[in-house]
Amino acid sequence: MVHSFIKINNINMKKITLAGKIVIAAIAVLPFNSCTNLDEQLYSQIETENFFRNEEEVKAAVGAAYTNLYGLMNHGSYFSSQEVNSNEVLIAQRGNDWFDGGQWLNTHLHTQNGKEDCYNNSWNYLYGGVNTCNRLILQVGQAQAKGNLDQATSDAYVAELRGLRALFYYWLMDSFGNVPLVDRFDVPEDFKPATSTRAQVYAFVESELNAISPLLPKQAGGAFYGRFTYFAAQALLSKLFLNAQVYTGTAQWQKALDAANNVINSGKFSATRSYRENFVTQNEASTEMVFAIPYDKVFARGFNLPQMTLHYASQGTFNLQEQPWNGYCTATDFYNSYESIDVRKKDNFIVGPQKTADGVTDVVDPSADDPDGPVLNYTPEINMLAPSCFRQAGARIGKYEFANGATANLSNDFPILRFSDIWLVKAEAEARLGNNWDLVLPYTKVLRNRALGILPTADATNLQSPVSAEAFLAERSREVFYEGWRRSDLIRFGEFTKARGLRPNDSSPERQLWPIPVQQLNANPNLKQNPGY
Amino acid sequence: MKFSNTLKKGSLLVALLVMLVAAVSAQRTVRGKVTDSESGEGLIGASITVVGTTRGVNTDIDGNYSVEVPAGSTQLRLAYTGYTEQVVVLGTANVVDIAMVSGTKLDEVVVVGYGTLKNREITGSVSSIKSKDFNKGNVNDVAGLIQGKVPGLVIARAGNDPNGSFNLRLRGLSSAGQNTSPLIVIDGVPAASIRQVDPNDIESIDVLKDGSAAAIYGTRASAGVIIITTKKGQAGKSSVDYAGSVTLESIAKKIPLLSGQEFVSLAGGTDLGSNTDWYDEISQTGVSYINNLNMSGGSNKTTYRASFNHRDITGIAIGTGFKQYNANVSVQQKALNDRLTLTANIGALSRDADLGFGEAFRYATVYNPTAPVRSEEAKYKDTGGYFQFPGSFDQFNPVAIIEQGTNTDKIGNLFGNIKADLVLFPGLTISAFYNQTRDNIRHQEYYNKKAYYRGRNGQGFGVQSQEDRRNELFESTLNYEKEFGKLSFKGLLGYSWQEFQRSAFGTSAGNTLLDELGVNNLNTFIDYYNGLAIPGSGREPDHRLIAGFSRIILGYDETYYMTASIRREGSSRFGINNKWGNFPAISAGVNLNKLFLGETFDNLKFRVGYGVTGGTPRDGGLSKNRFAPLGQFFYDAGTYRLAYGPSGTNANPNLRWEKKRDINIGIDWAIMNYKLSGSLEYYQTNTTDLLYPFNVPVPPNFNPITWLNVGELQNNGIEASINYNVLESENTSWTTGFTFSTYNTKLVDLYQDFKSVQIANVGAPGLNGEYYTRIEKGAPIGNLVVRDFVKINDDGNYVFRDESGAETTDPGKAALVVAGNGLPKYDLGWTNSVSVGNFDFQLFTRGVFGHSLANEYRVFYESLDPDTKTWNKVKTKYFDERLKAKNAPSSYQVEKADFVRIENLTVGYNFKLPATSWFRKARVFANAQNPFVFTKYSGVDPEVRFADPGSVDNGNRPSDEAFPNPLAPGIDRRSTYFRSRQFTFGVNFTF
Repeated sequence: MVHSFIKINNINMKKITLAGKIVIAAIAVLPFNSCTNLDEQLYSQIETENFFRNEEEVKAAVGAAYTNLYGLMNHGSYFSSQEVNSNEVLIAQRGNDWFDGGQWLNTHLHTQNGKEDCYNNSWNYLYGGVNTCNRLILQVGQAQAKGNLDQATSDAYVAELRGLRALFYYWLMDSFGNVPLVDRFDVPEDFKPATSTRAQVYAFVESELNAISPLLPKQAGGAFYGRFTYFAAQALLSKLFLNAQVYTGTAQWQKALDAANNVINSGKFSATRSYRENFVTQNEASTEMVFAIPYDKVFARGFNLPQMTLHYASQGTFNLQEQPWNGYCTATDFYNSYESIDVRKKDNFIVGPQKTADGVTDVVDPSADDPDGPVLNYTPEINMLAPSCFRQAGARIGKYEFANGATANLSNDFPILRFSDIWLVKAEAEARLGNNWDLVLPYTKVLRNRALGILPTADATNLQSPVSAEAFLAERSREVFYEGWRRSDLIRFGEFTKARGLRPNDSSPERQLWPIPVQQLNANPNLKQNPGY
Repeated sequence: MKFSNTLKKGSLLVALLVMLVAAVSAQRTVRGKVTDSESGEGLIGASITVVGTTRGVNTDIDGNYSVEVPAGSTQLRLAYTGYTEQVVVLGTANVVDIAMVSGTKLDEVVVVGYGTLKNREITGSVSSIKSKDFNKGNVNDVAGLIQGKVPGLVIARAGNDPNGSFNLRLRGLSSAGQNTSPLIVIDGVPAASIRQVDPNDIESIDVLKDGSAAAIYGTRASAGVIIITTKKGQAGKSSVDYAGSVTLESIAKKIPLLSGQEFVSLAGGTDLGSNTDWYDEISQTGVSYINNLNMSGGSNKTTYRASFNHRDITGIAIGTGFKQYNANVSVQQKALNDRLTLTANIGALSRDADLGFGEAFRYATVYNPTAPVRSEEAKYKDTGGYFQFPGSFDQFNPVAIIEQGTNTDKIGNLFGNIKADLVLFPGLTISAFYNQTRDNIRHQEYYNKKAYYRGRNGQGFGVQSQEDRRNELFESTLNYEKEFGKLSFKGLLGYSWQEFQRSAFGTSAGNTLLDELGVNNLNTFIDYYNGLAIPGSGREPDHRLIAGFSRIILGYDETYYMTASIRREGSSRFGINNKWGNFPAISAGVNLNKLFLGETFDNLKFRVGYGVTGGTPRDGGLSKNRFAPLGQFFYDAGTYRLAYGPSGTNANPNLRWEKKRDINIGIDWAIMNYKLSGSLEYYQTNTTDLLYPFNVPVPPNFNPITWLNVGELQNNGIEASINYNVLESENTSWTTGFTFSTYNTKLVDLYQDFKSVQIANVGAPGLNGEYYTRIEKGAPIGNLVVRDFVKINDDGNYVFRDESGAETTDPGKAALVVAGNGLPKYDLGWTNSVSVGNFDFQLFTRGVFGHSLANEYRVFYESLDPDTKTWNKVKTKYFDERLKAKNAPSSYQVEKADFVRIENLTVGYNFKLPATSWFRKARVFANAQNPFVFTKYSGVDPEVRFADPGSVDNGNRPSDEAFPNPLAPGIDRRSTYFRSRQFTFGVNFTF
């Protein structure tokens, strides 16, 4: 600087005219060329166009299709709505707690109207999944076209993504029924898809799963654990066909049986020795996991069951890091459907007086109004649904082990498709095809022996020849409690709308579908509300 | 671009221009004394310039001056703040004494952005508040200085959290959330951090209220502009000032609660045998100290001012307060025959804040009044000896909250400015300005292992974050002033480049061994090793704003004035298709008294202005599709891998500024020789292209939200102010002044097909999915829409009106009504200044009217419902022993919150000092803040809540604390800090 200063000093200033001075001044105040640059650079994120450069990046992006599933076991969305709507579990209004705009009462009483947050949350969760898959199918294809990915790898990823998309559409079709069918991401800007019929969505799910089955790995466990494999596709098909009559009006029992057989006969899966080992913290070793969400308290968070179901004071029993919310509990009639010797009754529920982690000290709820006093005692009986359900009323959901010192996020994996469920699909399909419910007995025996011990009377108490449809449904429900199937099972057996437990009145058949959320109707005029709403 | 390049180029140019100095020719020396025409006392620091040259000096301490007058120059121009400017024709005499006449308001200098104007030249809507009119007492925030002083500017803070900030709202809401507060400009630096300047160092605060005045600040000015000018040294006026004060502060109002006995007998609560006043346990008389020392002075060539400020503030909640040190030095140096003025200013601030736990107020309100604070019982060993209800919902011993946790900020701020003004030839000045400001904030929270509140069940829990900001500004301007006969011309041409950088690191973890270490040593937290710690860090996209601007001000015969300006500005945050915008403004005024009203009016100016201003989005990156780790891992062949995906919102490459257009019409008047003066204004604003997180259909969009420019807001209002010098005699004076403003904000439209939406979730327990507010097309903003309450019946139920008008006790069938509006309709300020002999008195009263508040304590804790008997109940004037109903928000808990508050009362005494005294001035004063408030509102503070911090749940923070929602005003949440009453005693000495 000093050097240049001296140089300038040598210029004869007097010779600069007024006009010259103005020109110099103007240069000083006008934007320099480089000083009009308004490009925005991202530092903590990367522009989407710059991702997908190699297989590692593509894989990291495809992973999002799986992490999208993790919201399933959170409070307030699709799974919660399924369970509460099924009357298997309920969220009672406990005084001034848990009213939450009436959404859970409405859902339980089948008086929902589509304004409830839980339906909009469900819709957003499911279509979030669909769209992630659609987006990734597009982006993986683009990466392949650019040469960043070889054809075989690309095809494998796309098949997996189509499988996951079929799963989300299956759930959409099962719950909302008539929903828009969008199978691509590059749609026009103001694209407002119209409603497709439930049968159209059914056909799409079927054709997709059939199309990708040959492309998916016929592997299970190990490197393929938690991935959408051939067996996941077949298991999902078996569920689809099992309910085909409900979805389309045409039964597909044989197809259901075939698909279930494709899973069962593979020899890759088998019933575990005990019921419990499917649901413990370290349940990834279970041989029943056809397709599971590999939840983990560190890496894969979202399985919030202890918060959702336990009483505040149960924090002391399990040394939970955060205080639970005292929400979800089991419908009394459902709890009572288990025989006392059924280990699933002990495994699935938490009832009775509660002790702290030392096993000796009583857990106390000092502010409880419950008739048997402040010692925390979960009673299967529920005095009322609303407004003043006792704070300790209702058997709590203990099916998924709560590890001592658990955070709000369990490490237990969640079985979306489990061998025993598919096993019972096979049983039901055979019974329906043979028009004889006794045909289920060889199948139910396996599971009941496991659950009740191999007592000769085990089968007799609750499930004996002649087997009724109701008895099979009850047995199926005991096995797959809190796995998200109770609602569709009830509908398939024509039981869904009948008065049950704390829902005193029959509901209309139209309640077998959920309302399209009003938030979605407002945003897209091409959507059609379901009948009866 | 690399900024260093610019700086180099700029320096070169400045160096070049420095050389453009005309040669000096023959001259003579003129000297004399400048005095006040009435008192005959010498005036210190009056400025004297030789007309037609750049030559200028200031008078010394006795009013004497001496100036070199070149041959051919025949006039001196005299200027002094508060006096009428005059031009003296020189004869042959070399000694010229000049008496100056005390000026009128019209001569006051008003800062308008990139320059100053005389009040008479102002054609837009600008309010100027000088330091002598600032609010006094324990005022630690710049906004507090002018609360209630500027018509149209509402400054509100509910409660007296010493670390809380004020909400500023100028002329209603003109944004859907992004730009609700005026742009702060400190000594020419836009968007400066308001805390970097100590209130004691401020000379004046000027508020550009309408678009015609604010448009010179373009894309950030839609909520108005507040220009803060700090004190500078004056030539010949050397002084050392000390100001010190001590403040005592206590709770002004508590919520009346059930006594322990009533809690048991009426509410059915459990009697635990003690009698605890929880408010007493968590509050204290706050004692605060403020010390300011500054020195200033200088010669004709150099002036300086240095100040040092110390604040040690203690709030009314135990564990809240801050300690702050602030130093500021400014130096002005003239060179090159006074053609070049260099101004440098550096400042540093260090603040240690104890944020404490305002939540303690909430739990003190509802905690069992028969519970003991501490207990020797063995089972309370786990909670550190504090009584607790383990296993209960949303109940925490308030004393334990305060004593078992820490919540602190350590804040540092450094800035430096350098400015060069070079007079190229008389009237033409070129300037260059560079500023850099750095802010860093280190936040720490720790909850010890025995803390039941957030202590992670015996493990201990800590939060730590560090935020660094760097702002850089380069501006260059060209100013030209010239008088052509009766026509005066002022022209401005400028370029501005500003960049904001921000990066942050934050983490939280539990499971530690040593409480003593708090969060200082992260290695002690097991969660960092087992993966449970939550990491977070990032750097925002730098925000860059570039502008070229120009302004022309014309005046004719001191009668007609016109201002026209334009700023063309771009922001890096806008979409690629809409980076740049134009912000034009035009305004004009005419002094009617000059035309035909003659003697009746001393001043009668009619003015009208129109301007376009803008608002930028709060976040960067909104115009792009972004990819980032999703925070979740997917399972891949035995390991978990981090999943990547779209981050934030959908890209909007068309994103652009919020656009506000406004019209302002005003009249300024003065009669009775300026004894009675005032102004009246009407404005109407229209804001379009509101930046709004728009819900888009999930298919086909991936994210449910895109930031779009949608909707339209309208505001209008009237502002009036009157000043009256009631008495003015030799040793007695009395001045009184009123300000009055009205407000009206309407949502014309939000987006296509928009009708209405309920917002502001009431929250837990039990009222999730219930809402306080509805925003509705065509309706005023701020409507509180809740159930239509009729009465409480003898069964103890709420009775509501349903849609058909019939009465119902079913909360689900009740009709919703507009029960009030959270925004004020009008407000009033009333100032009185009296001086009698050596005493002076100041009284400031403020009233705000027409707003309502939803009283959330009443929503949750008023009914004697047995289901809520664990919480103590509020016993306001609405308390009804019969009420046993389930909580259901209704018009019953929405209360009118109009209030009149004696904000500020000061009594001062100025000592008469002998000439031999060490002191030049000595003054003592006593001050009271908020001594009285008149309101029917039953909560602790009827102040306006401009934005909703969101619901609270079982010991959590308010859900929208970081970005309170301005579309949901009027909710008195349970997170409110209590209001205090403050008494201050202080001294001022000048040496």
